[in-house]
Amino acid sequence: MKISYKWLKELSGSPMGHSEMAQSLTFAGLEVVSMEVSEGSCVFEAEITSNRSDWLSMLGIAREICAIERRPAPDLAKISKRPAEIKEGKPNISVRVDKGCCEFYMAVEIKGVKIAPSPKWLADALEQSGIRPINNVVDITNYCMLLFGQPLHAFDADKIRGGIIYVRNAGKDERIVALDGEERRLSEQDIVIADAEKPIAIAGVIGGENSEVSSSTVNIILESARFPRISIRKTRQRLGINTEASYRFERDIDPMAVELAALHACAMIEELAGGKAIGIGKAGRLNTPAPKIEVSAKDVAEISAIDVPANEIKAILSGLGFSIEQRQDSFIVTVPSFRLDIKIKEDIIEEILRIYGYDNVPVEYPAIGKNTIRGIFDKRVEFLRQVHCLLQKAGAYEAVSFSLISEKEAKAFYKDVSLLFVSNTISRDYKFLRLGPVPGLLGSLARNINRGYEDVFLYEIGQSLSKDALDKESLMLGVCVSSKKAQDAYKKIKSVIDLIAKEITNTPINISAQRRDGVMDLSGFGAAGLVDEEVKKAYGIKNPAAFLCINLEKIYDVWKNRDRKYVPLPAFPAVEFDISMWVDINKINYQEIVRVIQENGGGNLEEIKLVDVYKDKTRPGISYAFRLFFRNKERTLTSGEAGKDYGVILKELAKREGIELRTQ
Amino acid sequence: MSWQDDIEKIKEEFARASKKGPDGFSKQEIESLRVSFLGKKGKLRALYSIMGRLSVEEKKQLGKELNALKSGVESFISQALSRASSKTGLKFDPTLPSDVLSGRRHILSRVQDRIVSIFESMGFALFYGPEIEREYNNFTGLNIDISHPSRDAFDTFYIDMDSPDDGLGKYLLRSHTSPMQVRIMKEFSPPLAAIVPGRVYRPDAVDASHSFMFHQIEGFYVDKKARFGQLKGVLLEFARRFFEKDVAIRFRPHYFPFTEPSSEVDISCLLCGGKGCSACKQSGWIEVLGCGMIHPNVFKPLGEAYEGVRGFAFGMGVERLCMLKYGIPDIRLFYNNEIGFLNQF
Repeated sequence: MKISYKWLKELSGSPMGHSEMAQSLTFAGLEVVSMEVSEGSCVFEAEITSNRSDWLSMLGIAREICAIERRPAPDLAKISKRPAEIKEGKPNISVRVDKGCCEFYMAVEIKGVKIAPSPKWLADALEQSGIRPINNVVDITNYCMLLFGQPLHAFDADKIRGGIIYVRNAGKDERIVALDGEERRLSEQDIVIADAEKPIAIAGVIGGENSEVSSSTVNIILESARFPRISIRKTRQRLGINTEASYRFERDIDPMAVELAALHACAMIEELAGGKAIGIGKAGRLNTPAPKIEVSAKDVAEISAIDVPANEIKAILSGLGFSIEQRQDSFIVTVPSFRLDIKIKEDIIEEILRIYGYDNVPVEYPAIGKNTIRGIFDKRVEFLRQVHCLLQKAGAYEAVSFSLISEKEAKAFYKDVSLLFVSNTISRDYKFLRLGPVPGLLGSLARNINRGYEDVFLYEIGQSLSKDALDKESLMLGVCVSSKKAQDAYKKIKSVIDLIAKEITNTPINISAQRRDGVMDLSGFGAAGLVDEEVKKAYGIKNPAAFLCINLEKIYDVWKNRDRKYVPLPAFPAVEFDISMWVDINKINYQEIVRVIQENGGGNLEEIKLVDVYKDKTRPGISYAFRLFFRNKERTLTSGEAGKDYGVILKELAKREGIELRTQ
Repeated sequence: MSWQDDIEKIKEEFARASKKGPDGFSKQEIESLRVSFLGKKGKLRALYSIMGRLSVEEKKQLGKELNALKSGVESFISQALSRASSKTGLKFDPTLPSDVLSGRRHILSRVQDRIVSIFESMGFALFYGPEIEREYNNFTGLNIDISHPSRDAFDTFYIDMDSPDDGLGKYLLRSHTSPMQVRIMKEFSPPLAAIVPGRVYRPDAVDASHSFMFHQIEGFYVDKKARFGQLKGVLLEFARRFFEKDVAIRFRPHYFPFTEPSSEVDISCLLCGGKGCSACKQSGWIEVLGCGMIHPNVFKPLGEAYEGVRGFAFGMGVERLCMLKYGIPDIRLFYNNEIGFLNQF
């Protein structure tokens, strides 16, 4: 909001210069974000917090200045004007209000105005507040809105049919051309101001073109009312019109200002536009609560750690317009009608503290930790740290990608899996909720490849945003690799699987045969494989790529329950045997061979080590060489004993399809 | 000539040959030195051959002299040899890069961990929470009136999904980490101190300084004697440790529905130290977080255990702190995951 320094200085009677005033307001919580100083004027651009509807008036801001300077709030009786004499209740126009549409409505009939440009001081005041001057009558309504925070509207009285102002809900599909020249289609939830025939304004939001004050207007109806804030907000949102009026109404307005502002405007119109107020029509009744709250200096000290002297408390609150009654050890504070945000003691304490200065509150340190909860998540945190650690050990870079993905990505990666999606998305690119980090990582893979990075190895840990993971954090690990050769990309994925098996689950992870889509299952902990061509195409990935996703919750369960105990170091020597063989990997793989060896190796087989992998171009198959270690815990094993187990292993291996033993 | 003269002569010859010291020899020169003194036809060998003709007494004397001379020559040669080999070349280049793998954590994670660990060291317990939340935890339980314009600041992604009829309202992507206040307080009794990092979502278009997804860290402390002065202490301590400088902080009144009194916190500009520069828009200060005393309405639905307690809470954006600390100009760099960027931190 734009605030004229000159106007504010006049209203508050402050001696402060503009910089000092801007600084003071900022430290009271009304942040002046910038200042525009030009010859003879200065305009503050201020950020009004949404709780302070009173700051949407010059009077409200002037009260801040008064409190800062410890002076009483401006005297409304002196500031506000009234027209000389009006016959109440006898206008030519009657007012009718439907239930729930308006708390209080007031229409003042003014005759014989002469529409003209405003005097310079008035036009200047508006311009410095960011409002374009139009003509004297409209400008006066805006001026009074700025002064009191009460939006006013002037209708051309001669354009109103049937001698009635009727505040009602709009009919279904009722239409009105608003002051901005656009036709709006209304709904039954919207409130309109109507005459006997048609709507003439959208209540609290914008006037209608059909009743606009023009240069030929002579008689006017001046509206001042209090509309329900929730309804105004909904209409404003639905129609997408944000006006000075709706902005104030949806934050709620000071009930006491409804009449004050209207009468002040009347007096100004009589003075500057030559009209004469001849009658007032009213409907409804204003609710003006004046809650009383008890607060003491002790309360302030308990919450803040500072003793604010009683006379300071008094001066601050009276500057802000509160009335105060002093009791023995406390104050009974009456909340003024313009402070609808003040409801409880803590609200009053904030008022005192912010004006007294947060910077005056001493710095102290709490004794946290004595009885507070701690260590609840230590185990999980340690687990996650280990996961991060092993990924870095493997050489992966952690990435952070968006949890919302496009329909294209969702279809390409998740195929027919139904995903949750946001109903009010800002872009088609960010609509579906991911089940893990892989889709986002693929995007980052593509970007890196396009930037010329050949080997990209990314991982991310993120929540699965699925229907099955509501109300709890369900973490997934995703890893994506691209390389010039598919085998190299997959090898990195495998290094992560091996590290997880070694450091987290402590048992081998079984890689099950490829599914039809080329994806392999990992002991139910997740899946891995090469990224298929269709997915790569959707992401624009040109190089071979591989992925891995692991359900961290599942491996966490294994990790947290593992039981590790010291095992005595070997005291007797091991006996070693080598086996080498030609393997047809289409028929049997490493994992399977190791299982055969293990199952037939007997109790003394301690370790199976792959020592060589070799491919001879002149013949099919791949040569695998293993070294087997046999050891007995209680005594020295003879090579004869170990040789028996070794013989069984060879015999069993020889039976398997796809193995051609080279040993013997 | 007696053998004594021979010994003296060899000594002199060796002194002459080794005059330039052990540093001055090439490997070849050392070898010829060795051959001429210690070799099969070398000068010392010749003296050994006369040994048989001498008396027992003289033999002893000559042996002693010869041994002393031999070990002197040997030690000189080995010294020269080691100098020579260090000069002629190494077996490998010790400065070649290793093939160590270069995995790294993301800078946001590191900064997040750093922030969390500072608060953990002050006694706050670490919690995580779900990103899919309910209206009650995200708004109502935090004293945010859904119909009030104050809610605009917490614009939210709603999820297209039916919600159970349990009074908690619709499903949404949490717009801040504060709902964890509601969840944690429901589960535990005070006193409690918690720190909660996590992803949050707001329907903002993505540009250099906005993103619909970002990271926040929420911290709060609930106790009978919690007060504003302590909040100042905790945050001052945090700012000094995190920015590794003796930064000044200031508290500016602000409005948050879930705290009363509420405040924003500025730190003295890291670049200009408070004099005013383009980074701080000439103000000398940079806003870093929001905080306040927990609003009594937040405690109200929590029952007896929360009667008469007070608390303070604070929340900060990880991206913002990260950008400030490392001078990162564009928030999108965090999510693009370009290796060149990831490698910088």
